[in-house]
This record gives sequence, C-alpha cells and structure tokens, in this order.
Amino acid sequence: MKTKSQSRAGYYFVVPTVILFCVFLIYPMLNSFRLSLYSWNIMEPMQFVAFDNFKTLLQDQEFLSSWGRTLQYTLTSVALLLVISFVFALMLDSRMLKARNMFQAIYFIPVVLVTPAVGVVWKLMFQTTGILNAGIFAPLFGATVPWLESKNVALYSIMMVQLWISAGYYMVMFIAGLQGIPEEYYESAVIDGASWSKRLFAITIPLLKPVFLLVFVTSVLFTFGQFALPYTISQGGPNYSTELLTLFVYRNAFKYLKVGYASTASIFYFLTMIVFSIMQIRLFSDKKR
Amino acid sequence: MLFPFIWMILGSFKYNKDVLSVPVRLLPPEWNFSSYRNAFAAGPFGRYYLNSVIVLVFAVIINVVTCTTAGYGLAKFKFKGRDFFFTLILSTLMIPIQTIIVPLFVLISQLNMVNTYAGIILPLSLSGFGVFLMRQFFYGVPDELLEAARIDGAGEFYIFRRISIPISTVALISLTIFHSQYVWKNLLWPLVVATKTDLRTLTVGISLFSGVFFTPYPEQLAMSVSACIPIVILFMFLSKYFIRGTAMTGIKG
Amino acid sequence: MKKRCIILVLMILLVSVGMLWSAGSEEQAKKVKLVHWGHTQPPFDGLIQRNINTFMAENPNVAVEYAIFSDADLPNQLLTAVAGKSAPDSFTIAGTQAARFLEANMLAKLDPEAFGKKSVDEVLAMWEDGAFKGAGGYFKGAYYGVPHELSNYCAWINGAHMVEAGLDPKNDIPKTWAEFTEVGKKMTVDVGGVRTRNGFGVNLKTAGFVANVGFPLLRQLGAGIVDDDVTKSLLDTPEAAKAVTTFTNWILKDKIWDPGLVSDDREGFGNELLSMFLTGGAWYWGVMESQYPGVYDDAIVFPYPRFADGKDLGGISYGYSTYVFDSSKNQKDAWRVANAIASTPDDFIKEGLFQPRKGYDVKLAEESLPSWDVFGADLKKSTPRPVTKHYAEVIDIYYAAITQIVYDGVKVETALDAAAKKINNLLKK
Repeated sequence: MKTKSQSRAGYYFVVPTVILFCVFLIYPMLNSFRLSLYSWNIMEPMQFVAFDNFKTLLQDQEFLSSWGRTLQYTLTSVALLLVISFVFALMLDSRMLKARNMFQAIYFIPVVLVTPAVGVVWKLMFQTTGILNAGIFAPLFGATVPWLESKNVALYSIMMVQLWISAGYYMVMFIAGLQGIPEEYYESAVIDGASWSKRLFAITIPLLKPVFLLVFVTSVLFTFGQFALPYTISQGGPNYSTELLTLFVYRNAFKYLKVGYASTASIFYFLTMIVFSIMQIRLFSDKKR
Repeated sequence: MLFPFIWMILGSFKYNKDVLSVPVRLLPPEWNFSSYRNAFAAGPFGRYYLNSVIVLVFAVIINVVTCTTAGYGLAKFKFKGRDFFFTLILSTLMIPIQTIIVPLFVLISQLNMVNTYAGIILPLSLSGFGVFLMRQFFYGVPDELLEAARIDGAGEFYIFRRISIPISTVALISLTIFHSQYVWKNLLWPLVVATKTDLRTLTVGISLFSGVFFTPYPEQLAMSVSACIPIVILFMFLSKYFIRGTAMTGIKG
Repeated sequence: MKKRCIILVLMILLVSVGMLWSAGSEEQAKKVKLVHWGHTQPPFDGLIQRNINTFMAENPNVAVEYAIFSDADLPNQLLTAVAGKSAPDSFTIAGTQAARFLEANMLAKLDPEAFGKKSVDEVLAMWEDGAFKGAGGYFKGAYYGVPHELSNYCAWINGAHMVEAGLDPKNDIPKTWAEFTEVGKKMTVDVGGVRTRNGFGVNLKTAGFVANVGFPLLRQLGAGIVDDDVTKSLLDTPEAAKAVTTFTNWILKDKIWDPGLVSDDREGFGNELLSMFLTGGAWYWGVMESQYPGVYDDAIVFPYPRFADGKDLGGISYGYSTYVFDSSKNQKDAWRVANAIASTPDDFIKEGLFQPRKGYDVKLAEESLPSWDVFGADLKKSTPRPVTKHYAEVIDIYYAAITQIVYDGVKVETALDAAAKKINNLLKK
C-alpha cells in the first residue's frame, strides 16, 4: 500500500539533489542556450542577434565536418570499445586465472591516470622516432607510422589512446555482469555438450544484453564529449582532422571569443545526444525498468 | 597494457634530453633521481596534493549522499514528477563541459564562491551517472524488505538509514571509485575556478609544467607518477568490492 | 529526519569551511590586496616573486599575490576571470594577446605618479627607445604596459653539424633563403630511410610558431597575412605565394624538414634533432645552459636570411608587458607593483631574458646573451606583428592554409586565396 506519506518521503529523498543539479548544471545549461541568441566576447556587453548564429553555423564547413567527424569517431570507438572491453572481461573473469584481482586492477590503472600525464606520455610515444615506431613498427614492418602527422591516421591514434584508457572502465561493468550469471547455466550447458562458443553466444551474450546496453549508452555519452585527451595530444590537428565537437566549441569560445557562437554549437551537441537517447530507447524498448 | 605507464615511470628518471633522444631508449642511460625532488620544489606540490585530497573527499561524500538519496527516492517511491526528475538529472549527462564552463563560472562568482573550496567542490560532486547507478541498485532491493519494516512502524528515513544503506555498502564503494577517478583527474573546472596558487589541485599543477621555452619532462612525469600512485593504491585495495558492488547495481538486469 | 539533518549540517559545514578558507587568507583586512598574474617559465617565476617580496617588504600595507599560469592558458583564464568579475589587478602577457583587452578599453593608462615621475614621457625615458612600442605597451596614442621582455627571433644553426656536413661555420652561414635551403639539405640525415635529423624545423602543431616564421617571409616580399592597418589580407598575391612556397617546399620538395621527427623546434634543436631553427630569441642561451648543455658550445646565431630581391627585414620582434586592468580598485598600487617587477633587469638578463630598462649592465648582457650584437642589429630591422583583437583567428586561418598545403596537397595559390577571403570576411565585421 502506498500511502501519501510515502509519496512525500519520496520527494524528500529526491528534491535536494534535484535542486543542486538545477542550480549548478541545469541553470548554466539554460543560460548557455540563451547565449546562442547573442554575440558575446566576454569583454563587451552582449548583442542580441537572434538566429544569426544558427544560420552561420549550419554553413560553417569546420563545424559540419567536426560534427560529422565526432559522430563517426564515437560510433567507431564505441563499437571497438564494446568488443575489446567484453573480451578483456571474458579473459580476466575466467575462473582459471590466478590472481584475477590483480590483473583486473592492472587493466583499470589507465582509467585513473591523470590526463595531462597520459597526453604527454603518448605524445612522446607517437613521435616518428618514438618508441612505437622505433621499437615495433620499424623493426617489424620497415616503415614508420605517421601517428599524429597524417590527417588520416591521427584520429585513430587518439582513438587508440582513448580505448587504452577506457577499456578497463567498461571491462569492470562486464565482469560485474558476468559474475551475475549463475554457474548452473554453464554447467547444464556443458552437460548438454555445448561447446565454448555455443555457450558464449547462447548464454553469456543474451544474458548480458542489459550490460551491453549500459556500456553502449554510457560510452556514447562520454566519447562524444571527449575533450581533455584530444586537446592535450593533438590540439585538434593536424589540419583539424582530430577536432571533435568539444574542441570546436572550446576554440570558438575561448580562442576567438565567440561565446554566443560556441553556445549555438553546443545546442547541436545537446540535440544530437537527445536524438541518440530517443533512438536508443525506441530500439531497445527500455530495458531499464 | 601497462607499457605506457612503465614508460612514464622510467621517463621520470631520465634527464630531459634523454626523454626525447633519438634513437629512443627505454631505460635511462643515466638515472636522474633529482627529478622528483625538483618537481616537488617547483611549486607548492604538497599543497596541491592536499587540495586534491580535500576536493576529492568532500566531492565524493556529497556525491554519495546525493546519488544515494536521489537514487533511492527514484527507485522506491512513486510520486508525481518522478520520471520528470530522473530525465532532468540524466539530461545533464548530455551537456558538453565547455559550454557550461563560462555560465557556471559566472554563477559561482555571483555566489561569491570563486577561489573557495566550496566553489571547486560543489559542481564536481554532482553526477547523473551516479544517480543512475544507485537507482539501478535500489531497484534490485526487494520491496518486501522495506514493507516489513514499514509494517513494524518504522519511519522512511529510519528504514533508509538502517536497512537500505547497509545493504548498499558495496554499491557505494563502486560509486565511490567511479566518482573518485572523475574528480581526481578533473582539470578544466579547478583550473578555471581556483586561480589562487594555494587552492590549486594536483592535475592543474601538472599541466603547469608546460613552459613556454621548454618543458621539463622528467619533472612533469615525476609529478604525474606521484599523482597516480594514491588512486592506484586505493583501487587495488578496493578492487574486490568494486567489482562486486558494480555487479550489485543490478547490471545484469 | 536524522538523515536530513545530517545532510543539512554537512552542507552548512561545507559552505562555511569554503568561505572560511578563502577568508583565512585575508586576515590582514586593513592591507591593500593586489593580485598579479603571469605565465610560468622557470627560473623567471622565482625572480618575479623575489621582486614582489622586496616590494611588499618596502610597502607593508600592500599584500601582493602572484599566481602563475601556463602561457597557453593565461589569456583564456583572464577572460573567464573578467566574465566572473574576478580579474586580477595586474598581469603580464604578450603584446599580441593584450590586443583584445586594449580594443575593448579594459586596460588602465600608465600612471606616472606610481613611477615617481610627473609625466608619461619621463616614464618612457626610463626604458630604451622604442621599448614600449616593441613590447606591446602602446596603443592608439597612449601607453598601457610596462615592458617585461623584449625579444626578437634570429636564426640558429648547429656549428658541429655544419662541420660534419663539410661546411665551414665561419663562411658558410646562409644569407639568403636559397642558401638556407642548400645548407639545410647538407645537414639533413637519413638512416635507413628514417629521418634522424632535420636540416630545419618549426613547430607545425601550433598556429603561433608557423605564423611567427611566416610573417618575416611574407613581409620581406612585400606581402603579409594582413596589411599594416589590419583592414585586409595580402595573402592572395603572387608575392605571398612565393613566400609560402619557399616555406612549404622545405617539407614537400626540399625535404629538409620532416614534421614527424620532432614537434617543438626549441626542444628539437636542443636535442640535435634539428640543425637550424628560426624561433629562438636571446633567451634561448639560458635554455640551452640549463636543459641542453651539450649544444651550447655549438650553437651559432645569425640574422634571418633574406630573399635575394626582397626587403631587408629580420625575424619578428615581440614583447611581454605588464598591464593593469581598468577595473582594478588599486590602480596606482598595481602600477607600482608593475614597476617593482621590472626593476631588476640584470637578474633577468643573467638568466637570458632581455629587459630593455635603462641602466642594465651592458657587459652582463653581452656575457649572458652571446651574439647580442646580432640580435640587436636585427632587432632594429625586425618584422612587427599585427595588433588586432582578431589575432588568434587570423593566424589560425593562415595556419589552416599552410597545413592544407602540407598535408592535403592543396595548391599554394588555392589555399592562400581561400585564406585571404576568410580573413577579409572576418575583418569586415
């Protein structure tokens, strides 16, 4: 029985947090949406320009390619991330692996490393004479990879670092999910003579659908919003080939002092994420209760 | 997997010219043990460390409190506007940080919280993801457990404190770790809101090593390594609970 | 109920702790509190702090807080601070970065009384001729900044590499760009198809340095990224195309420059990955002494090469100045702090940073900044950089054109024409 006082208690639990969110996150967000209707360079008063920013933005080649690039980058990264972190989880959750905890901890370490540090280390490793080329690629393939020099490769280099950092993060979620599958399922499958891959595809993956969904949604949100890493490693270069949407916003807001314009771009960012959420809910018919 | 980390540690023991040397070498040709000393002397790094810890502790406490209460309320109670509130909270995950940086900073300065610990901590303590996690977890807690207590005449907050929280300890650990790495690594917000030297955090301090004329890589790497150690240790101790806790957030559905 | 109380108490505790903490540093409420911001570069940070400490000792009623930032972040931080109304009283940045503040009328004019003088001219006389203009402290008829650093780029070459390549360090120093390219070719080293030493390099990762080398190249031929009055772009001219082609050919045709080898040219030269570079001021001697001692003895400074048929212009000159915000409530004291920071030119010169304040020890300069004569001579013919609030965007457009030519194989004229159009559009607003 749900009494009135119970509903009220619900409010008490939720409202303080909601207020904090509104003050520190929602209000600035709405403010920045408002800013998109203005032209503001921080130092002089704002000027109302209505939808001029939107018109310019939709014709701005740099914005459009940045947006497209970020979408492409996100989808590719997420696809790879799902596979890689799932595989790691399978490897590291195996009951046969000794010192499981230690390995899991090791794979999680990249997640906690401070971004400027990661940026510096990988930048040095990516140099043409850096350890990746000199130690691996040159001896094995006789050629060096232009990690951060080629506009075709640079984005993938950043993706590589991003995968290195986050694989452990999502791996943990998969491991958690794996541990939730009762042993009996596997045992009866083994008795029935099911092979390892049959067990994987018939039991593990279907039962982990919610985890896949969670990882998918979370990683899309976080990957789309990547900033610190590409900023530290490539600053958007070479030739804007690694300029993700967040970098575009940052550049316009802080370097060029077009705060209103940058806010307009962030509205598109927000809309993209909303569309994605709606699509995701429709496609997976709300696995979350 | 750990190779870049090892490279970072070895780099901190090299001399600046050896970090960039061609041909590249893994081990330092000469071991430079003064990089750590120099790094700590380059700025008030003890202070930066302290600040990072203070920010971390308070932000995580607030985070745990807000996410647990909100998650619990959203999961276990029905009331008008419940779904609206949840969507509102989730929507905050869809905003790029750079966009709200300036309005948020203006807000914080209007509240006179620039260059205060509160100003750094409060925005960093909010996490839509955390609310989501705890809500998931509480969905998995059987209603009957709470009903039984209600029938016995217990008040809601009593139930929350005495039953729900103890059950969720492991999930809380998970939340703590997820949020800790977010706060500890955070660069942009502390950079913007704390311009006073003695309020700076460690991440900001590390980024300051990039000088105009040259970057003292060994010192920067040394500082980076020391920044990573505490959280790596924290994680190693808690990893058992971490995974279990994440499992209990009902991830398996 | 108890939970709610606990939450409430925690919140109150936090806010009060936060406020207390910030209040804590203001115990001496009677003191005048000033804040000064600057960019970080050891060992100069320590010198500035020392001067500030001396100032505070002599003026016990003034407390100055000195905060350092990374050079790249400082302009952004200043902006955010202005937006949040927490701007410092004084700050030291590059002249080109100050342009946006100057054009928005946010900076205070020089106050002669703070320097113990009666007129601005007397203050100007405390520094070398042209110092204020060169360092970025002059704008539309008035003076706003105290010179902190005045430098110009000259060309640098590694004498040991020259000898290795069979060249004579005394006689084979390049005087024209054509000679420069030839010398570069001789000093470039490839081992097994992998570049191990560039004849020359510039930091291709940032717009700033690419533009800094581009300015003289363009101006020597009478072209430019923008014209003198910053009203239009001069990139869509055949002269500009010639200048830019010379630059991009170093990568594409002459192959003396592989950007993948090393990004930062100052680091590259110090680590012997480059034999020549063009973005070093006199301060580089100090850098080599502390970071790259192995190259110190081999480094040779020479004037920027010229085009055989071009103008006699050297590398860019630039400066950092200390400015005061008009919003500061203690402008006079802020100017006194600015004066104090710049009052020990010899300390900075010893570490390699030239401060043009009259009374500096000329002999010390010659000792600490070898080849001072070369720098001084080219300083007089240096290329000035445009002063405009659109500086960042303009050089980004130029930089985009260069990277298109280098990485995308776009034709020089096409890229430059597109860049000129964009710049013109921007300047029209």
